[in-house]
Amino acid sequence: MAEVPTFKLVLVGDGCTGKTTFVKRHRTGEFERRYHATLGVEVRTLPFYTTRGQVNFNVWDTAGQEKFGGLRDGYYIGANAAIIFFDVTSRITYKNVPNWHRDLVRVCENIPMVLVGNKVDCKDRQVKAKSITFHRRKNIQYYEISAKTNYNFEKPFKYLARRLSNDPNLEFTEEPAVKPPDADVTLDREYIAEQERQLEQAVALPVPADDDDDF
Amino acid sequence: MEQQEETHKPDVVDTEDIFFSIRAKLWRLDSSANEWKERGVGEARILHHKESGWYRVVMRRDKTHKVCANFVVHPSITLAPSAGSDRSFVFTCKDYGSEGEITEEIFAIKLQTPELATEFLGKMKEAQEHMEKVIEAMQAKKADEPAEPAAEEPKEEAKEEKEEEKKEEEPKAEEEKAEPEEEKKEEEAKE
Repeated sequence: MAEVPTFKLVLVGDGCTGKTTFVKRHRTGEFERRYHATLGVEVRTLPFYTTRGQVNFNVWDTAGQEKFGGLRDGYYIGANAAIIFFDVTSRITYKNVPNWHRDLVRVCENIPMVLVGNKVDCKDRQVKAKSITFHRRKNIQYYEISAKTNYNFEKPFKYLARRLSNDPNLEFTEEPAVKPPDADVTLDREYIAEQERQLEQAVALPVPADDDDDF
Repeated sequence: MEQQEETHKPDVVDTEDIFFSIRAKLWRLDSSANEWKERGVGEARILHHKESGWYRVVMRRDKTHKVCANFVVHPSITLAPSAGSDRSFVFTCKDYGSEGEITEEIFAIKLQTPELATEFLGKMKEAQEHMEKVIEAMQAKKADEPAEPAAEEPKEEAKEEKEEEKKEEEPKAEEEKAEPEEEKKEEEAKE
């Protein structure tokens, strides 16, 4: 089988703009509400399935908090693409975008980049759409997203996959789901009893009913 | 601007039919935290295999079409209404993910309306009834097969012999019959 094209993707932006939550959303489907500052960098591979076959992004999710050590060049070296995050409910995070961009281009001169304004689901938006102009000056792509509602959450990856594969018509396709073996029918009584016990507990724990309950 | 959202319709594998398809939201239970963790929102399909007759559920997330559930619609699965919701069910299953790595999961699935929840429940039960027959037929076929592949005697004779054995010492004969079958199953489960 041909090797899967793999790209190093660096995520930068101030702390608390939602980089790790964005990655987690893509990895597991989960939406993490609690804040855990990333230390250094966390590298995760995110596969995508496209009309041009599988594409892997090795996502370098970096620490946005300066106090955990500014980003060393090593994080940027060899990057094929980048996403700069800011939080539309926090002006300072948008003000810092040029700094992140400057650091990036110092090491990676000409890689496809996306500017992402996250948390657009929030009512207390501070950075108005009109005032977001940085991407135009630098000729980079911009998306408003919400990791919470999944609004546009696939767009940055789709844009980068299109750029990196030189196919402007690339679309995401179904991830193959291997067929479970037909032979898996043996369930002993103990197993079933245990399942029933667990089910009883799980039934009592209500499923989250949020404002994002309409789907 | 973005081109048409779904220009590429997700592919349907030609070995399976879509028996039923519905929009849903799925959580998995994180037992250690006793917390529901969202797994995905998207289309859940009950797929029917054209040859084997088996049913499985494959659910994929919107937009990225990544697999968030892949399990056999086993007759033993109970869809229990979740406390305080008129459109959610909780159930346990062996999830095969996208690549076939098995994890025991407790899932909660929520449908868009109570009516759709009822419809989903009905379709799952229907699939389970079919599955029960398919499994019965499989097990009957297995029981018919001679224990030793070498023993290629005419079937009727073999049956008669078995019956004779039974008459002589019935309880023991049944035990003997049950044991090798279980071993077989265990071996398959390991595979």
